[in-house]
Parts: sequence; structure tokens; C-alpha cells
Amino acid sequence: MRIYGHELKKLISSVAVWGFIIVCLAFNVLIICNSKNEYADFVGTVAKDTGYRLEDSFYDRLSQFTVSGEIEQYFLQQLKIETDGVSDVFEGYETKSIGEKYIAATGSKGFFAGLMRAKYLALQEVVDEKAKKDESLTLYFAGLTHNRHQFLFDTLMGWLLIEGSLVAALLVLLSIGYENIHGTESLVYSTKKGRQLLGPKFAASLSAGMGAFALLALFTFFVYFSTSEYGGVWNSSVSSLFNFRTDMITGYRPFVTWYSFSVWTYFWAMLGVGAGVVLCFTLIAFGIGILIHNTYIAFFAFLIANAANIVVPMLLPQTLVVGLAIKYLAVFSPVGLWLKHELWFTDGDVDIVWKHFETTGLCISFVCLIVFCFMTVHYFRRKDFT
Amino acid sequence: MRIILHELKKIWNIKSLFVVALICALFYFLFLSQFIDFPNGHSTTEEVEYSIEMLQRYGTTLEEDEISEFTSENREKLIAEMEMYIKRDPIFADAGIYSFEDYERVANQPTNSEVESKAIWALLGKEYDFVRFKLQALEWIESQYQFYPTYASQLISDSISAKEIERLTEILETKEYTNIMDWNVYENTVGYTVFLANLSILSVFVLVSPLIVIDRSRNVYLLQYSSKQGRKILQKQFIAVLLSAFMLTTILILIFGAIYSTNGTWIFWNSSLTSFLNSHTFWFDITYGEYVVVYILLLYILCLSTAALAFLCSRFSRNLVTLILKLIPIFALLVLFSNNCIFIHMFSFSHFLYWNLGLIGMEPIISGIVFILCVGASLYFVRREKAIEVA
Repeated sequence: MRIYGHELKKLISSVAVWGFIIVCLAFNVLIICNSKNEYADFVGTVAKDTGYRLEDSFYDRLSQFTVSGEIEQYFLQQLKIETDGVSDVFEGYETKSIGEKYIAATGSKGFFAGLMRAKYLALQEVVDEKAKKDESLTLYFAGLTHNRHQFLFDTLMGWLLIEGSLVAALLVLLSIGYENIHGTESLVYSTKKGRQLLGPKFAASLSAGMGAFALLALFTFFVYFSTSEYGGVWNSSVSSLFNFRTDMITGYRPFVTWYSFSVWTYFWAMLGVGAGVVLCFTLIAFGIGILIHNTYIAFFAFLIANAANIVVPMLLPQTLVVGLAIKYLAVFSPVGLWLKHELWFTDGDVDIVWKHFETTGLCISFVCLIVFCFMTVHYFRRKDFT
Repeated sequence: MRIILHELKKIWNIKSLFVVALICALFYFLFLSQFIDFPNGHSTTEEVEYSIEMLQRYGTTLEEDEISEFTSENREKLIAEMEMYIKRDPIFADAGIYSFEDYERVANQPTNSEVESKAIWALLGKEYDFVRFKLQALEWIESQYQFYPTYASQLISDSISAKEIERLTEILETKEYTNIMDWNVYENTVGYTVFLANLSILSVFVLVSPLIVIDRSRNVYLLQYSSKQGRKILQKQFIAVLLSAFMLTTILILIFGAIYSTNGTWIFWNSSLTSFLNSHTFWFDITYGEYVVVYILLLYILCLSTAALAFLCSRFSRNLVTLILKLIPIFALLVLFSNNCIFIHMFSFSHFLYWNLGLIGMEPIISGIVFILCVGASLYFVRREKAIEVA
């Protein structure tokens, strides 16, 4: 525990790490400032009084709602127009055709086509359930829903994951490479006890990395939610009729999640999986840091390994079963999960044949990386430093 | 010179080169390869093909009689071809289409039955050689030529900038817009060159950055600085860093230039960029070839500035991880700077510097200023190092 404390102190006393975190936060604040939208804030404020469920009480309260300013009058009018005469998007919505379009676009057959069909068959049950509960009849941010949803769960969350992963990976590399950097490697690792230092080093770098991610997330979301009014829409469903997603093959379609998520629960679920992805990147960096002596080369090896994870499935011919299998399995890798982060907890897209790909992917990645790390630790115990 | 060669050897070590090569290969497949498979899609393919045909037949500019000749000749050929397909395939008769006029009438209806849609899409498909796309591209080229003077006059009347008005008037008076320069080719080249600049910055950073920090983390400099000759080592390392950046940039330009040349866009080398086929208007009468040459010169300046910045970061980093922590935000800033302030739509009305600050043709000057600042700062610290107290 004492060594762990010293190792942690080494990491958190690095000025460059703090400098990097500040730069990341400054960047996040910059993009948050550019995302301001008065109409969305107005909807959030109105929802405090009217509630978020698009039912009779909502319309009654909305009709009684009064505002003073000219722009607010315009916003209120706009909100009334957008919410007037809306219907449940899940009523009669069928998902089978989505799967068929994806199958036709990829030309997949047999096992993978079967998986895709099974996924959309299961999604149909979810949709029917949502239709029964009138889940789409919630306000969210009305006409600005897609913009706000995309900004928080795609743009901001995406950058946060990149920043968190980079800081965590660099902290691991700094911790593992510390003895090499300071020329104490031959001395420290000459004894069995010295080699056991890797444990506290790993624990310290993991704590520092996840702590850095938590700090980044805390400050970023504090700034974001202080400047963007979410007032009455926290309990609104993310599968609101105003929310949608789009792709080249199926066009516009409702935002369907496997479970019923409110904005609040979806936010925490995303953050939880995000922390898991950062943890996976930390484990990759740990393994690579042990295998590659030079921390500079190790960092670029970390980047190259993740980039290769994207490029290799792209280069393999999709007409072969092996090519398709690698493409679909690559989604489970940490970088694959990061690339699809805006689709977590949904049915995914043409590249995803699995249900609950984010949780499955996270579990698979975690198990594989733990095994990888154990192997590298085993290698480290017998490594020749001469 | 001997020391510089030794420093070069340290920079160009096999591990770093392997990492740079891997980064280049992955970057190519992720970002650059999409620009090589060109032209791609419809009616981009047809537009580019017709532009090339016009260029080969009439030279770099197109007179009114030439465009009339070209379009009427090709239109007749395409309509005859479509009539032949319509008569040959029963799917057209099923949709009540017996001639090209019938086809156009059905295609322009607000809604179509399934049989009609099938017939409409048939002439847009591979089976019939994308013939309707060809006609669409031809009509677009003809309308661009006819309406460019009206479009430019409209821009003149809408514009509040005297310089824009002057330039547009000049284009109309000199008929500069009659140049043949397809917008797809221009945009493709801009996209490729912007990504190549990003790759060059990254590669220079990766290759040259560790040199100083490795020596300093091992405290080699304490030994070196005890002699007069040793005090000059940092200066020689700086020269080695600049030389390496120059050599690496040359290699990248040669390799990725050779790869890009395979897509055949070099045929537009002598075409001026201001054209009725290009949506961008340029401040000068600059050809595609001149644009590429200016790009290469600016890329060299940018990469040398990058090398000087890497040298500074390396000098002020205690170890390789702190160096990386500094390089990441600097790389992001340099990419933003090179894309927006230099390479995206250089010398055009839509360039970032003109759009936001009203600066015209400042791309080389801004690049030069950055180069002078970076190299100047590096030289200042190199000079200071000669008298620094290290004890």
C-alpha cells in the first residue's frame, strides 16, 4: 500500500499530465460554448412546468403557459406547433425491413444474415413493448432533440472518451517506463521483490487514469449542464418521437434502445460503458508498455494497434465469410466500441449483427485484455534487462 | 558535418522508421485511399469524363461554338442510344414509355408506379451504361457554361466587397471562366492534399521529436557542455532535425504524389482553377499545376516549422511521455492551422482567412511567419544554450 501511494504520487506530480488535462478541459469548454441553443434551453425550462409526457395535462399546461419576451413568444409558438397532433412512432413500426436492407447492402448470407434477422426480430418485440407504453410520446427537446442528443452522447462523449483513453494510456506508460526513464531499471528489477513493483505500478496508473477520466467527465459535464438547461426533460425517454437516427441504407428511423432509458439513466449507462472502454484502453497500454521497452515507441504501437483494428477489417474482402466475421467481431474491440459509441444500447447499424453489442463487446474485450496482461506480466517476470 | 551525420543516424533509426512507415500505411488506408479511387459514383464519373474529353479536344479553354458543338453532338448520340434501349427492352413498354420524350415525361411525374420506377432506374443503371447520367452530366455542363455570366453578375450585385466585385468583373471581361477545370477534380485534390499535410506533420513529429529528449534524459548533455565543442552540439542537432524533416517531406511527397498520379487528374495540369465547372472563385489566375507546386512549397515550410516546434518540445521535456503529452495538443493545433489557415481552398473566396479576416492570398505569408517564429525561437534557445549554467 505504501509503494502504491508513492507510485501514485509520482504520477499525479507530473506537471505535463496536469497541463494535458487542462488543455483537454479547455477544448471541451470551447465546444460546449459553441453548442449553446436558446430554444432547447427554453424547452427544458417549459418542461419543468408542463412535464415531459405528451398527454392531455401537458397540452393544458402548455396552453396556460405565458412568457413575456418577443423571442420567448416565438419559442412558445414553435413548441406548440411541434408538439401539436403528434402520434406514437412505434405504433405499427416494423423492424424486419431494416435487417433485410442491411443484409442486402452487405450481401451477407447464412450465419451472419441469420444473426441480423434474429436481432431485428428481437427488436420488434422491444418496439411493440415501447408502443404499448407510449414511450415515444415524451418531449425530450422537441424539434431540437436530435441536435442536443447528438451533441451530448456523440460529440461530447466521443471527445471525452478519446481524452480519457489518451491520458490513462500515457499514465500507464509513464508508470511502467519510470524506472527506464530514470535509469533505475537494472537496480530495481534485479530482485524478485523489485519485479513485484509492477503490481503497485499497475494499480497506481489505473487509479490515476480512471481518476483523470472522472475528473475530465466531472468538470466537462459540470460546465455543460450549467450552461444547458435540462430542467424538466431528464426523465423524458431517449426514444422520444423527436429523436431519430439516420444512415445511408435505411434513412431516417426512430432511436430505439433495447431497454427503456430516460435521458438521466441513458447518460449514466453511457458514462459507465465509457469508463469500461477507457479501462480497456488502459489495459492495452499496460500490455504494450511491458512488451516494448521504449515508452515513445510503445505509445505509437498503442495507436498503431488500434488503427490496425479499424483498417484490417476494411481491407478484407467482405465477400468471404472470414472477412465478414472479422468485420463483425472487430466491433467488440475497444476501438470498435468507441467508433460506435453514439449507438450504444441501440440495435446498432449495418456493421453490427449482435444484440447488446456494447456490453458484450466490453465483457469480451475485458476478458481478452486481462489474459493479455497476465501473459505480459508473466513475460516481464523472466525478462532479461541486461 | 561528422556530428550532424551521427545525429541524422540517431534520428533515422530502424525502429522510428518502422513506426513512421506503419503510421503512413494505416493513415493511407484510413484517409487517403478514398481519393485514389476517382472518379467514383454518378454523375461525378460522367462529369469528369466529359471534362477530360473537352480538354483533350479543345484545349484548356472552351469557346461558345465549341460547347455548342460538343453538347449537341453528344446529346444526339445519347438520345439515339436511349431510344434504342427503350425500343429493345419491354420494361419500358410496360411503363408506357416508347420514346425518350415519354421517358422524360414519366420521370418528371410527381409520383411513379413500381413499373415506371423500374423503367426510370434502368437507364440510370450499369446495364445501360449509365446513359441517363451521361445526359444529366452533359446538361449540367451546358447550363454551367450558359449561366456562369448570370451567376457572376448576381454575385457582383449581391457582394459588398469591392475586391470581390473587381475580381468577378475581371473574370467576366477576360472570359477567364471559360477554362475547363472540373470541380470534382479540384475538391478531390484539395481533400488529398489536406490529409497529406496532416500525415506529413504527424510523421515529422514522430521521427524527429525524441532526439533531444533521449540525450537529456540520460544527462549526456552535462558531459557535452563541459567542452566548447560540446556546447555546439544542440545547434548541430537542430540542423539534423531540420534536414531530417526536409528529407522525410521529400520522401512523403514523392511516394504519395506518385500514388495520387495514378488517378489521372494530372491531365488538368495546365487548366486554370477559375472555371465555369468549378464552384470556387480564385483571387488569381492560377492553374492546377501552379496550385500543386505552391502546395508543395508550403508543405515544405510547414514541415520545417513542425520540426522546429518538435525540437523546442523535445528540448523542454524531461522524458518521452511528457514529450508526447506536449506533442498531442501541438499536433492538433498545427493540423487545425494547416487545414484552415493554409490548405483548404487556398487563394479562393471561400478560404478561412478571407472569410473571417478579409485577408487575401496570405497563405504563403502566414506560413512564412510561422516558420520564422518557430525557427527563430529554436535558434534563440540554441544560442542561449551556449552560455547556460548547467552545474
